[in-house]
Amino acid sequence: MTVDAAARRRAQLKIIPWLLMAPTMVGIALVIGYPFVRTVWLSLHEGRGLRTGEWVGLHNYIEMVTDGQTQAAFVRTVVLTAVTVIGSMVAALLIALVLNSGLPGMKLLTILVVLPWAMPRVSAAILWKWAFDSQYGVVNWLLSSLGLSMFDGYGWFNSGNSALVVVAVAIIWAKIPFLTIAMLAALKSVPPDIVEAARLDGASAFKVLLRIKVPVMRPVIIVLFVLATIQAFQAFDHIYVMTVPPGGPNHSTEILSLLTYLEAFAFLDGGMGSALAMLTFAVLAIVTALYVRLQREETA
Amino acid sequence: MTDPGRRAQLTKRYVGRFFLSLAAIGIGLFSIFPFYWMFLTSIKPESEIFTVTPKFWTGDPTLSRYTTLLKGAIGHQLLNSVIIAGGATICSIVLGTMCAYALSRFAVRAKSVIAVSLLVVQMLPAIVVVIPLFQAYRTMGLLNSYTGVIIAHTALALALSVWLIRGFLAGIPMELDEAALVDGANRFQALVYIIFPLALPGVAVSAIFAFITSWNELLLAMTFLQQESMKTLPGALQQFTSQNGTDWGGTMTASTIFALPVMVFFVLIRKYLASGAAVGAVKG
Repeated sequence: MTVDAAARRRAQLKIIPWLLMAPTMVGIALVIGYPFVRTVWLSLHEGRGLRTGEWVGLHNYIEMVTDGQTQAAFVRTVVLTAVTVIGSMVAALLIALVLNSGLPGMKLLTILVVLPWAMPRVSAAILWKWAFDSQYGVVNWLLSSLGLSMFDGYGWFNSGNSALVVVAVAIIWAKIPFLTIAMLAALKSVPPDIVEAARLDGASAFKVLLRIKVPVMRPVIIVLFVLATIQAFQAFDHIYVMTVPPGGPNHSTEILSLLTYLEAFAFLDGGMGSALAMLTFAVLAIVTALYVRLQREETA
Repeated sequence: MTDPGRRAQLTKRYVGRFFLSLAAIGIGLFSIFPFYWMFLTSIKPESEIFTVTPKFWTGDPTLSRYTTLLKGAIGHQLLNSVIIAGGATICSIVLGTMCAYALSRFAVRAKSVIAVSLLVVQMLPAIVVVIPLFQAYRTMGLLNSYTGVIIAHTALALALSVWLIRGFLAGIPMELDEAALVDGANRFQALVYIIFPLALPGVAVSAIFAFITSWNELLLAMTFLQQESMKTLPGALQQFTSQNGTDWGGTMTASTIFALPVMVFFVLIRKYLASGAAVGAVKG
């Protein structure tokens, strides 16, 4: 009897966790795992209006890497990722330092800094587009009142590069809240007595930041950096919403994610779209692998 | 008191504080001004929106855009967004709690492999799965349905939910489960009545992440919901822009309607958010 019960209990201990994990695993396998394998498969086929065409081997990939439009989109994606990640990380660190300074009113300011997180991404993108409107935008008004008369009626969305500047501002604004809150949490873990001792020894605030605070925050900064890079590289919404037509003018703001979407759902070439999706995946896989390696070295 | 060195030091400190305050004001404005501008544009009369010198105040506020919009399709689209985001949130926290509980309380073989693969899944961009998913949904008739998008959004948020809740469960002593089991509760009861309430902050954080993920998601929602009556928030906002330009007043009104509930919610639960971001950053 008791032996029986014990055996049953042991069997239960084996089965229950798998039962609890089953829905998650099945769900992820069906919605992410299967489509992912399918994307690999599709990328080796000709795409005919989203139906799978003939087997073409690596043809889509060869066309992709030799295509000037794709190459330009790739470079643009890398630059936009670098600018938005570095811009938002530096801004978040500086803002976190101010929030951690102990001045009065910092609790209120923390709430204000978190607020943009609650703004729907598409709303924020449209709002920034409106702020940078050539004739009625606040930004042009502000810049030209500051004496920069070249911005009087400046058409930010008339050229690819200036449009990307606006897109970068919008993305950085949207990223700051999460990064700042995480950095603030990391800053609070810096032992105050070490900082105090360094200050008494005559170290400047900048030196304390560089030599003490940043090294302590290093693990958090690295995680945030990797997360931000992965997100920025697949950014889609801002470009789609802010440029008209998406990726315009004249394809000059097309980034990889948008090109993938257009290939698949506008030009109806699922094969090429899948190959482009695999390119994004390859880059993100490399970033993740580098991070895992870095982490191993740290703990070893 | 009259020591010149000390006085110089004090002056330096005040100058430092002055610049710090200036920076703080700048940060506050940068964070909050877009919200103000959005709301102001939504209540300005049309003639005040299109001025070369912007008007930072309106003497003639109008709510007419709100009344027209709420009578139109946007009420329905708001409901679509609420149903989809709510559904995805509930699914991802229920499934996520179950999975996290299994990972934190049982000696599962290949535990670390599972945990790491969850992270890898989290890093897969939606763009990698959207094409086959569209094909599959078309075959199964899940296009233009709540179910299809809820399933997709749940999958997007699930891995992070498991990860976050697992972090919180790790801080709850195992003895509590064991005590409940000794007292005659089964595993399910122990999870629902003892552990779940204790893990509530973690569950709340992952609920918020799931909700925001779904509420904001444009690519999948736009691809799977092409019928006008099924559109969610991002799609709805797109409608104000056409080849002829953008209806700025209308867009800003719709944006305000969609942003307001989330903002109020955020201010209410900000404490949970900070701790969640910290756990997520340190462990994720």
